[in-house]
Amino acid sequence: MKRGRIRKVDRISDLPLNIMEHILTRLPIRDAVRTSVLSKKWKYKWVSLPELVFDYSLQDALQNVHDKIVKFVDRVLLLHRGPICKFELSDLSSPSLSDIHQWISFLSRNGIKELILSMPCSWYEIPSCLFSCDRLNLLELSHCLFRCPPKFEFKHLKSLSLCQVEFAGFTFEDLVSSCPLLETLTLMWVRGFTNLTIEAPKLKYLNLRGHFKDVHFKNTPLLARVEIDLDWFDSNVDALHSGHGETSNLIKILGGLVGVEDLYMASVGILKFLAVGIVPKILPNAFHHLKFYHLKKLRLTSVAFHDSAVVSVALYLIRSAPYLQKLEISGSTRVDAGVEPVKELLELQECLGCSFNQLQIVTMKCSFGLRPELEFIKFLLSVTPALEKMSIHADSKDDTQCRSKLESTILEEVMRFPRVSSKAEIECFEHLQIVEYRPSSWM
Amino acid sequence: MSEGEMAIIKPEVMKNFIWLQTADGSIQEVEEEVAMFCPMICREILQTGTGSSKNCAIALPPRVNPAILSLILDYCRFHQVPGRSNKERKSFDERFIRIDTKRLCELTSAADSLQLKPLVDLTSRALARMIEGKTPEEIRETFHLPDDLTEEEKLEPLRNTADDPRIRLLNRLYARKRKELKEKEKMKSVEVEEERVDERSVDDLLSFINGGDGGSKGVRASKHKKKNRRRKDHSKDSSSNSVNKSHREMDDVSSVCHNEDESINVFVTSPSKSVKLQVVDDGFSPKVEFDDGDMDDELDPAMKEELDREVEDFARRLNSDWPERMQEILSSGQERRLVPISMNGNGSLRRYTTVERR
Repeated sequence: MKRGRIRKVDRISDLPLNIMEHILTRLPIRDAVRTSVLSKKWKYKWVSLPELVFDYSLQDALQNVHDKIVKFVDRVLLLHRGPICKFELSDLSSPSLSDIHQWISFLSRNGIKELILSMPCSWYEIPSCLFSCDRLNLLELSHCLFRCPPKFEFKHLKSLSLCQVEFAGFTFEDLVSSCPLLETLTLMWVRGFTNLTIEAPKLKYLNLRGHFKDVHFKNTPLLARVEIDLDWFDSNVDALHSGHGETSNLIKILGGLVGVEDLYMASVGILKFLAVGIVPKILPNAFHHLKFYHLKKLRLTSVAFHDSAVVSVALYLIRSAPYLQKLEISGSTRVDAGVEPVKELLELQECLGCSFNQLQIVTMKCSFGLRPELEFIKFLLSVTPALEKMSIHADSKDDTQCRSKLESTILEEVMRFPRVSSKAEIECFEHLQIVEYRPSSWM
Repeated sequence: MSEGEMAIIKPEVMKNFIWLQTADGSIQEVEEEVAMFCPMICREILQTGTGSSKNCAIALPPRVNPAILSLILDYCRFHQVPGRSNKERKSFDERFIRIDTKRLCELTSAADSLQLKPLVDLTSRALARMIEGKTPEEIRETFHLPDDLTEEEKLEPLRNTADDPRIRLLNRLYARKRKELKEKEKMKSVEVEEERVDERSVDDLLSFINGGDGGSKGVRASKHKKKNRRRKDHSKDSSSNSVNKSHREMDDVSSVCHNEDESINVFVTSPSKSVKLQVVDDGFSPKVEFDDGDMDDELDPAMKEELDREVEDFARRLNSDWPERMQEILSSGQERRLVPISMNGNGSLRRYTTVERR
C-alpha cells in the first residue's frame, strides 16, 4: 500500500519465470543478454530463454566489426542453459559456413524445434548435422544448397519453408515423403527440379512461387489454403497434350484442390497452363463432377481478359465453387486486344443461365479499364444476386493529367450496367501501376 | 452496479453475477460474461459450480488483489464485447497499460495466474518496451532494482571479447583471483595486497610470454581503432571509479589487443589495472571498447583504500619509466623476462607455474 512517499520496491525481479521469459523474448537478443548486469537476481534470467533470435537488429547494434556477431552468438550459445527451442539467424552477413556448421551441430544436440536460417547475402551448403535434428517442428531455409543423406526423416516437421534453395542429389518428393506430418509448405524459387508432384496427406497450407514445368497434386486431401504464383516454363502450347479427361492440366492441378477454402493463383503462366487444350466455349459447363464445395475465397491475378481460354478457366473455377463468397481478379489485358471473343463467351454464359449465388464481394483490379475487363464486370454484375460490394481498382499510368479521368470514366460506365443485386455498392479507386518483383538471377 | 440499478436499466434482462473472492477475503460481484472472459474463472464455474452466490465465491489466486482485480475486470469488460473493431481494441490497450511500473508488474503477475493470455502478452510487451534500448542504470531506476553486482559481475565474461583460449584463461584467472580476493577481504587479511601483486605479475608474465614483437605498434593500432567511451558517472577523481573502470578496461583492452596483433599483449595484462587508467590519461590511450557489462560498481571502503594505495604506487613507478620499458621490450626478448621480476620481486615465476598447472 502506498504511503506518503513512494516506496521504491522492486516488483519485477520476482515475477515468475514464465513471465520473465515472455518479457525477455520480446526484447532484441542483445538487450535480453544485457539484463544480466542489472542485479543479482537478473544475472541468469536470460540464460534459459528458449528462443534465440539473431537478426538484423544485432547487426545494427554490433556494427559488424571483427566478427563480433559471430563471437556474440558463440558466447550466447556457450552461456545458455537448457533446451533451445527456437533459433533464428536472419539477415546477417558475417557468419561463415563453418560457423553455421558449428551452431547447427550444437543445436542438434539441444533439442531444437524451430530453426530459421535466412541469410540472403551468403550461399552455403546445409551441414549434414541438420538432419540429426529429429525434433524439428519448423524449418525455414534460404539461399543454400540442400543435399540430403539417402535416408532421413523429419518425423515431427510440420512447417517447411524453402526459399531460393537448390536441391542436389535427391528429389523434392523424397523430402516431402520423409515429413509425414507436414502441414505447411512454402517453396519459393527452388532450383534443381521443375516437375512438382505434391503428395502430403496432412498438408493444409501451400505456397508455391517460382518456375515449374509441371505441377501435380497427388494426395492432398486436407489442403485448405493454396497460393500458387508460378511462372510456367514452357509456353509452347502445342507441345503438350490436349486436355481430355483425366490427363488435362486442369484436372491434375484442380483435382487436388477440391477441398481448398482459399485459393490464390497468380501469374499469367499458371492460368495458361491450366488453359492448355481447353475449348473455351465448352469448358465452363464441362467436368461438372469437379466441384469446389469449400472454396470461399478466390484470387486470380494476371488474368488476360483478351484470351478467352484464360477467361473460360476463370469462369469455370467460379462456376465450380457454389459457395464462393469473395472474388478478386486482377487483369493484365493487352491494350490492343479485341473484345469480341470474350464478349461472345460471356454472352453464352449468360444464356446458359449461370448464377453465382453466394458471391458477396468482388474486387477487380484492372489495368487502364479496358473493354474486355469492363465486359467481364458487366457480366459479373448480371449474375450475382447476392452481391454486396464491387470494388474496382484501376491502374493508371503515371500521368497526372488523366489521373482522375480514368476513375470517373470507368465508374460512369459501370454504373450504367444492369445489376441483378439491389444492394450492390460499386466503388472505384485509382492506383499507380505496381510492378511485381521477380528475382532475375533465378530466371 | 448493484442489482437494483440493473433492474431499472434493463428490466427485461436478468444479468447473472459471479462472486469472486480475493486472497484478502474481500468479495466482489461481477457480471457473468465479464468474468467468463478469464479462462481460470470460466473453468472454475464450469467444473466446480462455485461463484453463483456470495457464500461460495470463487477463490482467486493470491497474486490477485482487489485493486488489480478491478483493473483486470475493466479489461475483460471492454474486450468481451464482440462488436469492437481491432482499432478500438488496440487504442484501449495502449491507454490501459499507461500505469506505473508497480501496478504493471502486479497486473502481469495477476493476469498470468488467471491465465488471461492476451493481457499477459500486452503487459509483457509493455514491460519489454520499458527495458529495450535503455542503459542498465535507467532500467534499475525504472524498476528500483538494487545495484548489487560487484566483483561478481566482472566474472561475467559475456562481452565481445575474442574467443581466444588465452583470454579465456585470463578471464578464469581473474575470476578466481577476484573470488579469492573477496573472501580474503571479508576476513580482512593483509595478504590481499600480496595476492594482488602476485596477480599482476602473473598476468604480466603471461602477457610477455604470449606477447609478440612490437608493443608500440600495438599501441598505435589500438589507439585509432577503438573509441574510448566513458560513462558519464565516472569521475576521474574518484579512484574507486577509476579502478573499476580500469578493471573493465583491462578486459576490454585485452579483448581489443587480442583482436589485433598479439604484440599488444604487453599492454594487456600489465600490472595494476589502475595503472592502465593513468597510462590512458597520459595519452597512450588503449582505445577501449565499452559494451555490455559497463557497470559502475561500488567496492567497499577497505578495498578502495588498498586499491588507491596501489594505484598511486604503481602509477608513480610505471609512469616514470614507461617509455624506457617500451624500449627495452622492443629491443630484446630477454629483458622482458627480467622486468616483471624486478617490479615486484616476489618469486613471480613460481606463481606463474602454479597457475599453469591449474
